[in-house]
Amino acid sequence: MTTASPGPSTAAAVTARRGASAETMLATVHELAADRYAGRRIGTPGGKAAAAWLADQLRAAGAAVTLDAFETTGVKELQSTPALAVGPRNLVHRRDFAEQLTSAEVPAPRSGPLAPAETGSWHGRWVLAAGADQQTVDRARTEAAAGLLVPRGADEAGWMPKMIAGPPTGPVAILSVRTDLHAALAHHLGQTVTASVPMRTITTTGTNVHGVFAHASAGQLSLLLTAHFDGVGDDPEQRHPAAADNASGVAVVLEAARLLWTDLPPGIGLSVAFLDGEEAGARGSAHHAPRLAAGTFVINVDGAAQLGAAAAVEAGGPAEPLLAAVDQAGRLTGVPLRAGAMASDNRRYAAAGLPAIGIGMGMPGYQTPAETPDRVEGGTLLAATNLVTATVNHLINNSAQLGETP
Amino acid sequence: MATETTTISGGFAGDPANAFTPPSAGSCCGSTPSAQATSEVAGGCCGTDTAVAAVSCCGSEPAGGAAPEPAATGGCCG
Repeated sequence: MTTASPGPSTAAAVTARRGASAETMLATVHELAADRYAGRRIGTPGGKAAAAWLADQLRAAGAAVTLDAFETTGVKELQSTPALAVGPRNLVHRRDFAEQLTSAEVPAPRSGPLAPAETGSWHGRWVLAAGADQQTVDRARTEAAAGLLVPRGADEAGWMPKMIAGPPTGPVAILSVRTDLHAALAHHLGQTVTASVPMRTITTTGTNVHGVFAHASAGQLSLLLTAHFDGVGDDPEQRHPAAADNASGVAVVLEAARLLWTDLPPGIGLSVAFLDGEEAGARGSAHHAPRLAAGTFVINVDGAAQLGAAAAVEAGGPAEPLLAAVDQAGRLTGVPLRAGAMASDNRRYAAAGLPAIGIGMGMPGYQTPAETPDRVEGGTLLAATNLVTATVNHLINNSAQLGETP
Repeated sequence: MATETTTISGGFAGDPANAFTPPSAGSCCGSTPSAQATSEVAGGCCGTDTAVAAVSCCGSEPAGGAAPEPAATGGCCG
């Protein structure tokens, strides 16, 4: 067995004997949600600062740490707050309207009369359209419309969640307007609309944070715990703390790794990857997955803030033993599970042929300013940590039955 | 290592194998089984204003052997 570090630290061992600590995990959530990280968007100073902080945490826990930079294209970035005024009324960004990710960049406000889609000419008009399908966009471009206003829903708190990964930039200015407001605008036809979409598509550099606690001996079980640490980033004038998505998952993985490392049998491999760029299209895991040793079992946690009725579990790749282990772990720890879509980094590892599961336990305030640390439940963090550690322990206890790992 | 016993309160209520082909509801980036999943679907995935199926969003390689959705139906995350 080749260990990556001399062994568990005394502090880590004490933590392990005490079991998982909700206080420690909540402190991690609060740290990552703090103003200084500015929502942790990939490539930003806040994102890089979060990576550095996590590297320190892994080192303190006893891991050998490396930072792995990678380039990412197609990230949407607001240069300033988008504007939308209809007549005398200034609408509120992310409450009443939001940037549409296929929009052209319109840095300066552009004015034109509000018109229905049924109007004869769209030239110079802001058009109330049902959607931004290709035919509509083509007509808007051909007739030189000022832009399109399309409907979009809001979450239960009235926010329009922020996204930074999407289709390529198109030729037409497009803003999404809250569905009920979009319908109401039909009564304001002819009023002057003034709007801007100061959104660029950029190329930037992400940083994955890897911590190796122990390399696996030949033919022995190798485990990787993952969670993405990036968020969608603050708006120019509004915070996006990204506490649930995914400071909570990071806190769980860090705590689970600390606990497992203190009691890890010889020969078993244990690593952690805190991944960047998930919000930009799972870019960090796409960079990492092809470099990972075949047969590594991957457990990804994305969201551990409010368990609700059951944790969502998605399996991919040759994950039957992993799925059986998480099922047993759920029974052992009393955590109810259900098959649920986990469109997260676990899919990148599964696509690379690795056994991978994604676990999700809720994201209140998902990608809005309401995604604050006070909404992360200590009990859910504990449940997630217990589930992950019990899953790993089940795999370890049954590793002889898994056969030789590739 | 923990002693392995079972309880009746945890684990999968149904067939764990369903996790290989999970329901598509709440299928966007990082979605989870809580209220925001519903709002994601209502609000559109990844800013495209269109709800899409599980395999077509971020990390869009097919999961669990499922075929990816045609881009035209979702177009999420490029």
